[in-house]
Amino acid sequence: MKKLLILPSLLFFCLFTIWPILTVIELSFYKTNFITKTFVGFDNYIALFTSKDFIQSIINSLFYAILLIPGQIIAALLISLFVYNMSKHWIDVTRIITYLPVLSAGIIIAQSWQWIFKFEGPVNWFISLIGLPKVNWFGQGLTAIPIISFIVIMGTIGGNIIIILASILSIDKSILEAANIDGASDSQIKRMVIIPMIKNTLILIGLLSAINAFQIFENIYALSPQSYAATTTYRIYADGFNYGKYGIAAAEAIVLLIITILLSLNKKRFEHD
Amino acid sequence: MIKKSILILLFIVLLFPMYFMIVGSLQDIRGIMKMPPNLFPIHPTVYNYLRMLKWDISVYTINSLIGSAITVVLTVIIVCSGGYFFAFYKFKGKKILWMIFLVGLMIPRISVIIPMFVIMKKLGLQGSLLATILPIVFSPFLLYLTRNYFETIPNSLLESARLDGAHEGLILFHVVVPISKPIITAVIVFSSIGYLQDYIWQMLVLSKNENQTLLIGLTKSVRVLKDGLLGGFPYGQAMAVGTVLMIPLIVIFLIANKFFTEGISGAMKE
Repeated sequence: MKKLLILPSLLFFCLFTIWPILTVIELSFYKTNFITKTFVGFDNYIALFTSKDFIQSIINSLFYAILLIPGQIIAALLISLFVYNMSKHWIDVTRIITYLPVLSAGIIIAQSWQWIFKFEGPVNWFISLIGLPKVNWFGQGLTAIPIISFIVIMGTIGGNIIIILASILSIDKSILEAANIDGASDSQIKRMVIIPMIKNTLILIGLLSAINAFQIFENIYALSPQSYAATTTYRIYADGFNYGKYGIAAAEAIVLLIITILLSLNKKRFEHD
Repeated sequence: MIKKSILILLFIVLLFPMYFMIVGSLQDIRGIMKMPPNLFPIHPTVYNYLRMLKWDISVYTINSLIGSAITVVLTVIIVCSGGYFFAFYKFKGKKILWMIFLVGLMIPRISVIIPMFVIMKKLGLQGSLLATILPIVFSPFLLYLTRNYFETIPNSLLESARLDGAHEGLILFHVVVPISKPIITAVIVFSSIGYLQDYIWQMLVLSKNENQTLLIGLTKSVRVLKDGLLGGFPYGQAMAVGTVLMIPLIVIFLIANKFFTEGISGAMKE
């Protein structure tokens, strides 16, 4: 009887996780437009590693990951440590306000960001006011990638703060008081008591951020889909849906999948208990 | 006092894109293009909102409501049964099954978007609302949170129910679920928000106007407009659409806020 309770999860897992993965593996060995289908062996994979756009997209994705993984953890941790010992009222307000950008993240607020960074927009108005030349912010990777990373961090920070704060507030108060009585300073308590005690949560956030870093798509799609700023996710979309190269897109998906799984192998937090 | 000022400054930074979106939605194109940007709509207009009334907004709203409702119900059923299974059932290979499930978490949505298309065709669901729901209802992350929360429930509570002769399904719905309202609220919030924000898959699948959700129907209508305005992008209209799309999400979050936070806290105890 108890065993049957796994059925709903298992059913949906098999139908919409396992089945698609098997299909994408199969597709990656074919040249297909879904009407005709020719087996081409490893040709799609070979084509990838001679494709400039694809290699550029991998480099871009790594660039995003380098900014996003530490960025997401550090920003959420700093804000959580900043407010955890304030009054309950301020903690609640922080949770709500940092979550509002999460609610409007992605396509919903994308046009607003585009306006903020457009050539005749507020950011350029401000920097020309202080005498600097205007910049085409989404016009090259060097500026587009950090800006999009910043936008992504803003759109995920609220969720991470809720998780980190929950973890900090669950620490036994007497431990913090004891450290305080022993003469530990505020920053010592944070560094030597709180951070080690929430280590598992930080690993979890790190893992989720690493996964998320390789999944970002909507902001690229809406703000800067050119090859200098596009991620591998965007290449998969473009090759599949704009150019109809399903086999190539499937091979790209497999490469992305392997990278993501390799980079998120640190899954201790999930393994325990 | 200094601390509070820093915090308020941070809040301003976090909220300014949303603020500009709302201000922009209440202005015409001249107001939006004016630099320095208007901090308030100088000549406020609701034109951008009125124009939306001509679109099939009621159709889209109904689709979004039905879509998110079914998503929430299915997700809650899946995480409650699965969470109970993993929290209270001991068997050989449990750890391996858990790990396999979590691999699902690492799969980028985009990488399986093409096969998902093929699968929906095979299931005869292509273009339907159901096609936007089924792929997202099994969420490894929500299953993880629910399992963690259930694990904090003392086993003695279940044992006493078992001694009274209750079977497992009954225990789940009459013992575990009633004391797990916070985590279930969190699951409801996450899954409904997830559905209402799931842009790219819905955009690819929902080709027919009558099946489109608010997210797809409204953003599509702005894109169509773009051509009508000789290529000039209708920022005001896009911002009004963004504001309208944001409202249901904020309402859901604020209503459930208290339980939601409690649920996450319960699942994240160190």
